[in-house]
Amino acid sequence: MLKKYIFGCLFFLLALGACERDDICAASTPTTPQLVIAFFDANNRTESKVINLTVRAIGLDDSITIKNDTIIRIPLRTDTTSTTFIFTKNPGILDAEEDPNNRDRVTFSYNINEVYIDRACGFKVTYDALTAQASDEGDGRWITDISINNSTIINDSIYQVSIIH
Amino acid sequence: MTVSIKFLLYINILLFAVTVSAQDIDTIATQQERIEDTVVVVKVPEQYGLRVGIDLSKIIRSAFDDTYKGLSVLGDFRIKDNYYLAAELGTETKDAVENTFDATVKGSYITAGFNYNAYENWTGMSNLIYAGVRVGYSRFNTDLNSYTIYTTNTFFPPDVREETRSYDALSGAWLEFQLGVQAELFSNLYLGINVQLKSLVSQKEPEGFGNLYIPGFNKVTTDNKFGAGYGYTLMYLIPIYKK
Repeated sequence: MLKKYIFGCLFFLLALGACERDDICAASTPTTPQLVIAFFDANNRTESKVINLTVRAIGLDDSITIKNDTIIRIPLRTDTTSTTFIFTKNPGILDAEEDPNNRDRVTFSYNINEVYIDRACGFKVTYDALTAQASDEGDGRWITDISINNSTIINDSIYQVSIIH
Repeated sequence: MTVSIKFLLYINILLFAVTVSAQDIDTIATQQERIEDTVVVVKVPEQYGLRVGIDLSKIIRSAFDDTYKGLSVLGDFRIKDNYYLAAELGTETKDAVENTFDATVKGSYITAGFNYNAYENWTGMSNLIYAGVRVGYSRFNTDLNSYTIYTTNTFFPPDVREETRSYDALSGAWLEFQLGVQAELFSNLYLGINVQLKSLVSQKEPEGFGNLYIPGFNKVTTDNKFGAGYGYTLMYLIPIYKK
């Protein structure tokens, strides 16, 4: 009697072992943050100013397009300690009132910290010692000023960089 | 309770009555009164000894699960009527293939404690239905084979890192509760099955990484100190003395 019971239990336990829960990284878990840039008016530096912008990373063909926004979120490279972008203001809008299709080169430099989150999410990167440098691409600078408000990027709920234009 | 049932069992054998379990309390009581002053109870000696064996479940799993290799030896020793000292010694290797990384955990473990046999055997049989407690300790290493930085943004190509990182001298300690049965297949050869519920007491985690699996404890889940396991044992009793 007991022997039959033991054999029966074996199959039950083998079946049980096959259904382990899949670990899925919850969307609410903070993972690798993006860089948050806020845009301000050159005439009144405390006032947000909307911008039309395309962001292209050097070495990549894809670009991010922002239309009439005052704040943007862009990813930084996690495999190197700097990322260079071409920021094009009013892309393709040749009759824009200011800076039509004007390209500026912006380089962000930073330190990388690797952080283990958990089994489901794995590893993320946070950044610190963030610096930014802007230069023109032969058509004059549309960026009046670029400054760092927060040199540490842990989450993307606050902005770290402000650009005056 | 235990003592009285055993007492009655012996009485019944002497009276050539076959079943004791089917009797109700009333008849047991009257029977007891009637025979009390006339019967001499003969105690049949029971086997005491060291039982040693292996966990078949680990061998079976090693054969079918590509990510697992394990082996363990276990033993128990009867110290008093229903009490057994019990211990297990094992080694396990487990590949943790996760969504964004892949690691290998390798180490060995020991558990020790005791079992209480709650099964009343008929004379001459020695099966067990038992509950047991154990303390467990494991030492292991984790190799992080490769990982990808997790990001919800796909603008840049995935940042995959292939260099292996080794984390040595990790450890874990846990308390374990075990329920099991063991049946004598042939003379002195026992087949058993058990389930284990474990609670992690302490662990040494790698710096900048976490424990995914602890040999003997099994999978470590996020924000949860509980673990579970099972065993399928084959043991041989080395008789030492009868009592």
